[in-house]
Amino acid sequence: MKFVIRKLSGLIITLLIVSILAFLAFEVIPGDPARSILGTEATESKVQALREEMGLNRPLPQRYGRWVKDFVGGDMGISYSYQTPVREMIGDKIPITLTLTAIAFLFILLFSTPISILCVRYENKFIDKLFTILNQITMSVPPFFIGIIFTVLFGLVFRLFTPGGYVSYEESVSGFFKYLILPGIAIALPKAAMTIKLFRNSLLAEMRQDYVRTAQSRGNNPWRVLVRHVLRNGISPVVTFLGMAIADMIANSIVIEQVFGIPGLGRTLISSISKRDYPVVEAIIVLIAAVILVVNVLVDLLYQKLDRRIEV
Amino acid sequence: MKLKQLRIRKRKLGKTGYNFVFGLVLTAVMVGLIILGFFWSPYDPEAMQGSLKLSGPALAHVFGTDQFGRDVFSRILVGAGNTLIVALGTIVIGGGVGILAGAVTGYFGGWLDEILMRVNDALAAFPSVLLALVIISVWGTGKYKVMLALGIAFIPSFARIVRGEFLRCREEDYIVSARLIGVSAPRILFVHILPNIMPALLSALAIGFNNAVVQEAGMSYLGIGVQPPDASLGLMLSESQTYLASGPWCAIFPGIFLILLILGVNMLGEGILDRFGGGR
Repeated sequence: MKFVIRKLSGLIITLLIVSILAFLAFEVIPGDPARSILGTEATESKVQALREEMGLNRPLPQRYGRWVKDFVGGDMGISYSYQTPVREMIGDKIPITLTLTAIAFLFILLFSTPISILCVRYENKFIDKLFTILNQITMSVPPFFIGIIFTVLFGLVFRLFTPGGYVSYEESVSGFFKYLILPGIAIALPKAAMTIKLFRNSLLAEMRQDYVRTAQSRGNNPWRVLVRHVLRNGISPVVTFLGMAIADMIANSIVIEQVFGIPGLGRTLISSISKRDYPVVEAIIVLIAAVILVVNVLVDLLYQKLDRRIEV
Repeated sequence: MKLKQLRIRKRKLGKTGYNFVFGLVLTAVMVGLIILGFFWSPYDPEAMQGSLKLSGPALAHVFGTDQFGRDVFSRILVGAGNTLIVALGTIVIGGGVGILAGAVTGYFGGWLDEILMRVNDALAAFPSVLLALVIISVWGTGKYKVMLALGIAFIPSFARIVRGEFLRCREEDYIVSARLIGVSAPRILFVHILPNIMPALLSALAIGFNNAVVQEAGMSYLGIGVQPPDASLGLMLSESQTYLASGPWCAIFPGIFLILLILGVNMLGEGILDRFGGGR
């Protein structure tokens, strides 16, 4: 319990720092937000009135406090370019990006667990060496290039899907998932390769332990020893790695969304960056950081659950 | 005697040197090609030939031509040059500041360490590419701005690694003795400790280089990195996407070039760790 409280207070402090940094980063941008909203032909008195209304004339700490309060309450400001609340612009896009990341995460587990076990069981045999080489290569392929290859291969050659096509989850849930599978795999492959490498080494180190020899010499089936005992003890470094990988995977989702034409957070973020629509950029960045931080704390808690020896 | 030494060396190479040698050769070839591209390319990378739009790989144009009839191979050489410049700039900025910050905080500790590491934790929660995107959205796009943005975004991860290494070395006997005989702190930091953490540092720099290559390519692909008329591998991939059906070679070859460059540096980084160890 002490562990949980410690982790949660750490989370709150880090969230606070992230929010201050994000607020300051967008605060130092030259230019007047009120002027950006009203346009260049607005009169000075109108701009002043809006500045007063938006609270831009108040001191910095007060503005920060108000911004945090609004943000937590769901008010993320008004988009400069569309004049609509940021919340409306990104609200329905968050599930898309998070689903994509979750699917990619599932694929990492789906690929890496059986392959790592196979490689450890047949250490230094043909299959282990084959996967070591394949791994080394897969690790070096940027996810968005895998996406392009998939588009050529499955979209244009085999015609399994329409490149650039997309089905919203409100329309058809199965269609939505169908269009997220290939992007998910594209994100997952390089990370899965890294996971296999780490997992394999961690399992191999565990295999050298005395208890494994004892278990095997008592006549237990080697597969059983591997899956029931070694896997459980060797999984902790992998959990840590996957926790850190979440941040990268969300970042990769943003790029992959462009490759496959998925209207998620990424597309909004990129177009907002090009248009310098700061309130939207700020909201998306802070949201993503918050998700990553929360996931990381969950991973830490899970880690402790898996391995009771950890008491940090 | 000589033969025996040779044999020992050979056996060592066979055991751990495979990554190192293969990575070194591949990296040398790719970087060599890129450096060649700074001085010479088979065609002018900007020259458009209207009659040769999207023609496939052939003897005259080994990697084919793109939608404007430009030679893909020449564009790859020049584009990879920009990618290399951005990646090197990134690790010079990120590595330089990261090493300095990591060395000072790791060696001295104290409240400065506490504060910097907290900020570092917060920054580490951002994917570095997002941090770079924030900087780009404030400063605008372009080759050098991407370099600066990625460089700043990479500082936290370098600082963390270097800090860990300095922390580990701080209490080693040779450092304690150096401190006792009154060697100055900067000298201990950079003359005594730094060379000892080289293997770990070099492999971290190799990983950083690869991340920079991937992220530059990703950002240019998204249209917020290197801007036309500058070429970059990511930009080529992005431009080729419209013509995937009629000219897949415009995407495949830049992609393969990118992969080979990353693969080489990746194996080199691992090879350095395998071969020269490091404190782990």
